[in-house]
Amino acid sequence: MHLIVLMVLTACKKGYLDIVPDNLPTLDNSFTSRVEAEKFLFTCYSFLPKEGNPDSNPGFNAGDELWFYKDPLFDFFRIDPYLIARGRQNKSAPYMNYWGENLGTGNVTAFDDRSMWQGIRDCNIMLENIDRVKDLQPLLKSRWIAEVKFLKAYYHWYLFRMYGPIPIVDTNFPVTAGADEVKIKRQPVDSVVSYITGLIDEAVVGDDFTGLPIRILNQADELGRITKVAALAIKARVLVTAASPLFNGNSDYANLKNKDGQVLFNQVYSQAKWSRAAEACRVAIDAAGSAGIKLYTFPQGTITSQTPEITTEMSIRNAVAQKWNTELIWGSTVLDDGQRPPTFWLQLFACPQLDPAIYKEELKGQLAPTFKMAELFYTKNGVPIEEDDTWDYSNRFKPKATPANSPYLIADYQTAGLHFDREPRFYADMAFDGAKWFMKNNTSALAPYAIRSKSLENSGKKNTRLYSITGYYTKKVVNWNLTASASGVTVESYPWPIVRLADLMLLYAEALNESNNGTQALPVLNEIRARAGLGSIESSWSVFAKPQFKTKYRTVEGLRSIIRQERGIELAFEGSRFWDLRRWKTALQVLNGPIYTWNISRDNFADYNQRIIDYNQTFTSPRDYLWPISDRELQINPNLVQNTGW
Amino acid sequence: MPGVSVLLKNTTVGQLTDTTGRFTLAVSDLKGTLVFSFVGYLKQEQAINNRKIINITLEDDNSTLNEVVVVAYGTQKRESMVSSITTINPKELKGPTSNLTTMLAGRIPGLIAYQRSGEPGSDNAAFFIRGITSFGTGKQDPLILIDNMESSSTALARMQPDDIASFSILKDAAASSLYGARGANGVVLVTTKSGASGDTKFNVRFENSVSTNTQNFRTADNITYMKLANEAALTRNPTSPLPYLENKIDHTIAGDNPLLYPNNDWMALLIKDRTSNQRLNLNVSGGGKVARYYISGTLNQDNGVLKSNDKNSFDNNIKLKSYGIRSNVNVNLTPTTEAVVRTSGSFDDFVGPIGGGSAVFNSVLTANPVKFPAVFDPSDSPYDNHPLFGGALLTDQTSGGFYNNPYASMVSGFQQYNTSTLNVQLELNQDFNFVMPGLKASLMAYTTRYSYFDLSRRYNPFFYTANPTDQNVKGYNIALLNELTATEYLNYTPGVKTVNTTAQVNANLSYTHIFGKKHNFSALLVGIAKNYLDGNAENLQGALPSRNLGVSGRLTYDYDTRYLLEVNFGYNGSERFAKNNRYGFFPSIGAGWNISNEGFFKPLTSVVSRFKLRGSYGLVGNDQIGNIADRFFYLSDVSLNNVVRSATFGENYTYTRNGVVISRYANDGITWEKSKDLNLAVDLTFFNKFNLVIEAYKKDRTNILMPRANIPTTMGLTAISRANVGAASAKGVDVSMDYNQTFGNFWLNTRGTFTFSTSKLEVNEEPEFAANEYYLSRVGHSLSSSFGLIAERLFVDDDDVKNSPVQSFGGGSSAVRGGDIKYRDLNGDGIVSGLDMVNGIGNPTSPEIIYGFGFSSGYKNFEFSAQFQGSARSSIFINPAAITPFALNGGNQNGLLKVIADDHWSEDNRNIYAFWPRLSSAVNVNNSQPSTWWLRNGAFMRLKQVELAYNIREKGLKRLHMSSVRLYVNANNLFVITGFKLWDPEQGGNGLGYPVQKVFNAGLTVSF
Repeated sequence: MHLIVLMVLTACKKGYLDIVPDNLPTLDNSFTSRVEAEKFLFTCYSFLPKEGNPDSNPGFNAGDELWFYKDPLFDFFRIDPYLIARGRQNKSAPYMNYWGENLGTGNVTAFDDRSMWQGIRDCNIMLENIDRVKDLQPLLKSRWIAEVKFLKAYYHWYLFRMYGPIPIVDTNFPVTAGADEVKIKRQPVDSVVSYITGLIDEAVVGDDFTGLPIRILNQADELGRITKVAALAIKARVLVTAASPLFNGNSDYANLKNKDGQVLFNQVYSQAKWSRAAEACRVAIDAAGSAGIKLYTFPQGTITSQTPEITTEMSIRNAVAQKWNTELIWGSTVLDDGQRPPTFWLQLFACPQLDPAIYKEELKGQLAPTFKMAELFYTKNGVPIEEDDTWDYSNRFKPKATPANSPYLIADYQTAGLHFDREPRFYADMAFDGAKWFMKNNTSALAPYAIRSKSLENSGKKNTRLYSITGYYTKKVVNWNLTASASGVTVESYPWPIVRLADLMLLYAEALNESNNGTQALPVLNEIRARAGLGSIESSWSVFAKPQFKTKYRTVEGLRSIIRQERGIELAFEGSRFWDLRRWKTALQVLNGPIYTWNISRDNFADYNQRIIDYNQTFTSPRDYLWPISDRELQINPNLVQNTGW
Repeated sequence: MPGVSVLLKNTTVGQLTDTTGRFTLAVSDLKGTLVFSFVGYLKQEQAINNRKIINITLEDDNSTLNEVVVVAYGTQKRESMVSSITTINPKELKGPTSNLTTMLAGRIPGLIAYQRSGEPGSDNAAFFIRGITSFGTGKQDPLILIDNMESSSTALARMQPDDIASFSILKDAAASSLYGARGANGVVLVTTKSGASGDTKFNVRFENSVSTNTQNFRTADNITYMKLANEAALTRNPTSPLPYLENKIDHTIAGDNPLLYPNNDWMALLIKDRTSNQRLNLNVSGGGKVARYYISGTLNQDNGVLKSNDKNSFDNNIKLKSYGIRSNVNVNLTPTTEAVVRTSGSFDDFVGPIGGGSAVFNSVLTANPVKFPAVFDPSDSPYDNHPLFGGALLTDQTSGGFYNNPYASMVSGFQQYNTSTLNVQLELNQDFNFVMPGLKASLMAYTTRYSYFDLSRRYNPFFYTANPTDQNVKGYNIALLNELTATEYLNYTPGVKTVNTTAQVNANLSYTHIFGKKHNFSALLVGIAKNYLDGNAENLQGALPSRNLGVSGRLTYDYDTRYLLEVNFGYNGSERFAKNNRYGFFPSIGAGWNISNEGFFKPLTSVVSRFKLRGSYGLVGNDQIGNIADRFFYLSDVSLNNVVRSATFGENYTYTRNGVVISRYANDGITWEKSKDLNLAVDLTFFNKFNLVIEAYKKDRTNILMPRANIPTTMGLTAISRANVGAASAKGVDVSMDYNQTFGNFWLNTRGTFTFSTSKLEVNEEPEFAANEYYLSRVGHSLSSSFGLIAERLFVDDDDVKNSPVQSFGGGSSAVRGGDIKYRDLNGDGIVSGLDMVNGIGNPTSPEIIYGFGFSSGYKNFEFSAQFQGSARSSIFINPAAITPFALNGGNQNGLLKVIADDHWSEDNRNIYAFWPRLSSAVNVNNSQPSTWWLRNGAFMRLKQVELAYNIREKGLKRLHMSSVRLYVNANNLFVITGFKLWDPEQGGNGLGYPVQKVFNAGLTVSF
């Protein structure tokens, strides 16, 4: 009997433990067919940050452009940007950690599930394996390869902008690689930049039918995917950033060296970098032109009784908030939290209560522009408020009675002098106590929505959370189709502009000026000003500026200041300023100051129109120019060095 | 008693007692001496002295040295054993509890055990053989085998001591390497009783006990609560609004209408002083020549100490009914073939409050005591047919919701769970004596079916608030706060449903032979195949069966029971590993020397009656490593349809494709966790009365599965791969001793055990810490040691904060102030952060020392016994966030522990060593960092059990057809000696949960 038992045992020994069926899913299954491989392509795309979400793009809430009431307790998905804005960034658990962190528990955590390094690894996996997909047509394959190469470059760029010199991961280490082998070091700024632009160059080669498409043909399914124009525009942005003071001969980082002594920041300023950047901008703008991309203007006759003011205002607003408008180069279709369409939360966070008859908690109105932004916009004459000879600068914080039929201000009201006689972009981008707010369902020039936002008024502070702390509202990002009714709020989502033509043109102008071609920059700038209803730089300054500023635009320094302000205004509330202040190295001056608010808890004109300090922002240089790498990553990889100051 | 061997001394004349315990012996004359012996009982000699009828009662052999010990797949004589196996008399596991695991601590040398909760159904004690010696995420507790069936600790908890024939703990490699891949954490071996041929015997035991909490945590009175809540708000922000106005406090002091000025003592409102439990066990055994049976049944009812509401048609208090039934039948199919059928079922029916009893205790401290009354009188709203619960809206109106009324939460619903465990086992034993003397074979197969489901029913309580009014004689009106959401009817929530099955086949072949009188030889070969299926797997890989396959063997040899040698091996396969690593070989060797059996030792035996040295060394394994979800390490785990990695495009964002996530990278190198165990022991008996066993051991655990903590994120892995890289060691000492003495009618048996087990982490996957930060490393510390900052004292004032290193926790409104905890800046970088946290602060959280001592004594029909138990070298980590007074979390607002009210830092009393730092209205980030500030010594010693019993052995019983009656009273956990006063120290950090119970019990055992 025992013999039988042993025989049975031996016999079944072979098969008894082989319980795993052969067709368990493995990574190999991802590359067996076009349909499966497309999922991997989308995986590579899935690491793109939610640029259009106020909690995941530091450009919105981590700087000084927009402000949020105190430490938010409600209505946020991620609190990181608010804490960064309040100087709470740290190295033990960095906020907005797109780098990611190995916690030693078997998992990698990263901000919003987006470790850029994971994205890069997936891109490399895709590039390594795409040849195995049998049923992929060559043209499609070349497009996918180009897209993945671009994404790989973009994720490197995203980290570069935050951390400066970063390691480069061009090929994946095998999972079984030794621990010492994978402890890679950071690469110098110039190497990173040339690596990124080199990859983009590889992605944009080919004629109109290979590699990246010049424009998306299958719009229903593919709008939002990378095009040649988008890739060239990002390349231009990378090169402008590399030519900018933060990365071009920045001696603040002279001592940031790898452990082997390698200097990570180039220490000699090179103007040639600006020329290279200007050329990249020109190439991108030309490509945009050939793809039919042009500055957006609101068509005449779109609505009845369309006034010139409405045409200008809607041209400005819809250049951003109009779905797939003519100016868009690359729009982010990354879904918002809760699988909402893009910019869904941004619009709800920005839009205050508009209709006194309908109170909706969805309309939070918390995304509050700061005083700095209110003062940044030009006067109606197209020059800065402090340079305009005709504008009452000294009384700007005092309330004044509004005229009877202003296109921008509600009648029989009082509001601060700052809100009078400003350029159209001011009224198109922001709202305040006493402002008008056009919406598609309420376009009548006679009766737009009226913003009354003193305490307990329709748009003002009525409870502990649904209010703007500064008294300003971000009109620009709210699509004019948004409607609120008793049954709910309908949001018309639009792809968030990662790059639009005006941005690219401003980069071009900046690069031209910096490479001593300021006169070529002027027509580019004037085109943008014209769309905003302003005269040319030459005429505006010579006619309206105070005497000492009349010829300001003729020097490199003067035009630089004009270009920077123009950029700040045109791209206001689009998340550009946060990075611009850093690459210009002006953050130390700009971000060390108070955040002012109107006295929003008061209910009359005199009390409300008092400027009070909400918070004193501090910026430590050079520490805060770059993100800290988490302590734990440095412990794990001794070859990594921490950014200066952290 | 049947089967007792009766032998005329120095002859071969002998007989076994029959089924009624009688024997007849034909002797030549009525002289000489009879020797009575039976396994587990003391050998007795009686001179015949011309008697024709000799009545004899055998005494239990408490010395246990001569007994036959149940070992892996067999039995061995203790005298010839070399491995480390502790057995315990099942009688010692009897106590006034329906949970066997709570009786283990301090009674079994080598077992570290502690009970964290006293809640019926959740009161299993945690127990580890020789401590926790692995820090992986896999199995750390021992393999439990009940009649060779792999069982859970709950199955062990439900065992009745009455049904247990033997209870052994296998501690070293020589004992457990036969279990190969499953034996690394030690083995608990339990066998159940079988019937014996003879008259049918009934045994009934009934117990009724009263239980009460050993110790409740204490809260401050509510006047102090409100005053300190005000202090907490103001001390951090002088402009903050006061939580409680003077007016309210004054009315409360005056004792005004408590419905308008609520003043709740939640402990008194929710918790009863005591509860009663009943236990009934009966068993029947008997049989004839062909078949024997043992049948038992158990019915236990354990009740909780929670209050209920009469308005409800249901009772929310905890009621755990556990039923068990067991039937063991032995049938002689042929004279050499025996079949054994064992069937048993165990069933738990639990009803209790939603979230369990622990949550109710927790809510005593997480509910505001002064915002609302627990419940209004029904006369306040006579037309309503539901309890009128008190409620208060959370002050932030926009977020809605109410303060949690713990009384309403407790009584407004109930949850139930039911578990069933069914075991069926068939064993065939064949004696091959006719082929070769000493050759035996057996085949065993069993299956276990387990099922569990839970569900809950509750209504949404009606919340009322009282408003003062003159219109009403009562002086107040009540108003309903939530008419839209409250319901009078019950809502139903389905819960978890778990089903799984286990099946196993064992085949044994054994051979024993004595060569030339002195060469004792035995051999054993075992084959096993086991299959486990989980019906609740969440993914394909989890749904695949878990399997083990193995062959094990044992060879023992001794010469004249003086020189002992034993060799064991297990050769095991597990489906979890890749083909090249699937099988593991686990050998062990042991040797012993019975010095007292040597001729030269003879002169000393009158003093040292027994002296034995033994030792073993071997390898055991553990295949249950890592998370159960990570079963197949050699396969990658890829989700090819993952929504987190989806992307969306298209004009209207409609073209979405899900993406790919790798949650595990394939690694075919992963294999067993291994443990090399060395065991050295000495067995001593003095004067035949005092037994002493001292064992010392060392375990080297290697191949512990760990995530690769030193893989930089730049590598881009989505899951950090794991590898068998960790190593740990453990060493310790187990001591047991007992002393037996009889003085005429009085007998005394004292015993004591001592277990010391300490572990050390040898190799850890961690970053390479710089020399000045090496304290961050876990290496060299105990596996369950804690990690935290070194707290120096409280800050004297805000200037003290400014002049100290920056403490990076908190900020903004929770900035560090005077009276907050000051930590040491260990690395000297001027910042106190996570980089200043030290490993190995305090003692481990699970005790390193468990000891117990006690005695049993008897005088005539009386018996008295007592058992003390204690633990030492452990730390309790108080969780400051859980007890931060006034902190609001959802609707839960923390209460105020008395110790905080009495001893906290305040501006008026700047005691820098106060128990609690500066008050705050919310959990303070700085003060709730893990730190030495919250460490306490967890050592304690308690009177675990005392018992007084009266045995009726009078002749009158015969007429009632009873053979014995035993009446007894006993008590558990009468008192505890400890330096830790906040709650029962055995609960450890779980102090706000359901306390360990103090039990007073009366019982009756009747045998027919």
